[in-house]
Amino acid sequence: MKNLILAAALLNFLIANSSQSATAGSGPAISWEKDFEIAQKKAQETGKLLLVDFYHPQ
Amino acid sequence: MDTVTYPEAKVSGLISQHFVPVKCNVGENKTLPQRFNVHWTPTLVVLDAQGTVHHSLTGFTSPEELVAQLEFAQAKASFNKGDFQAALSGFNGVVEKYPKSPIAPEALYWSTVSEYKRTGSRDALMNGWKRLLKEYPDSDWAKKVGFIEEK
Repeated sequence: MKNLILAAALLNFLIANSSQSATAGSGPAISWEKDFEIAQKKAQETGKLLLVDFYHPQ
Repeated sequence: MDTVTYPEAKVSGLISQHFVPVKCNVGENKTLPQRFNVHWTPTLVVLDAQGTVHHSLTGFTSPEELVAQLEFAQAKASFNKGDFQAALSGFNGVVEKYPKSPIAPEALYWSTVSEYKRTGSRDALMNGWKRLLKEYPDSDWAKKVGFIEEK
């Protein structure tokens, strides 16, 4: 019985996680840089523009 | 932004492919917000490696709108570099793909200026601005060219 409950809990966990990733979209995860100077160097090397997201943690 | 806008495939794809994304926590980093005159969050700033700011926006932005804004920012960066052909193509793309976006009238304005810069054609300038007056008569950008109707 205990094993059955554990299996059900595991199944619920897997379903919940799979639906979360489905609603999160299928695009690549954005790899945010934390250090502006490193990002600036990357932009220099790649010719890409920098996108800075100024945020305040909730 | 982290829960609604960034996870969208079209947003994350565009950012990952064409930008170097940086997160700045304004509670921890006081220097960067001051440097870019940021006093409210969320604020997004698009700049080049030399530190020249090409576009910025403040407040929550929907996925669709952020894509339009970022494509506009790319076109504006091309314009500021003097690459008027790339700028023209970028601004036209914004107007065609996102005609209802709040950035569309501004894109049409700069598309017209890009064409003028590229060709020197005064007719192109007048025709583009007439289109702006016709398609976006209530926009701030139409007000900037309203003088052509008085002539």
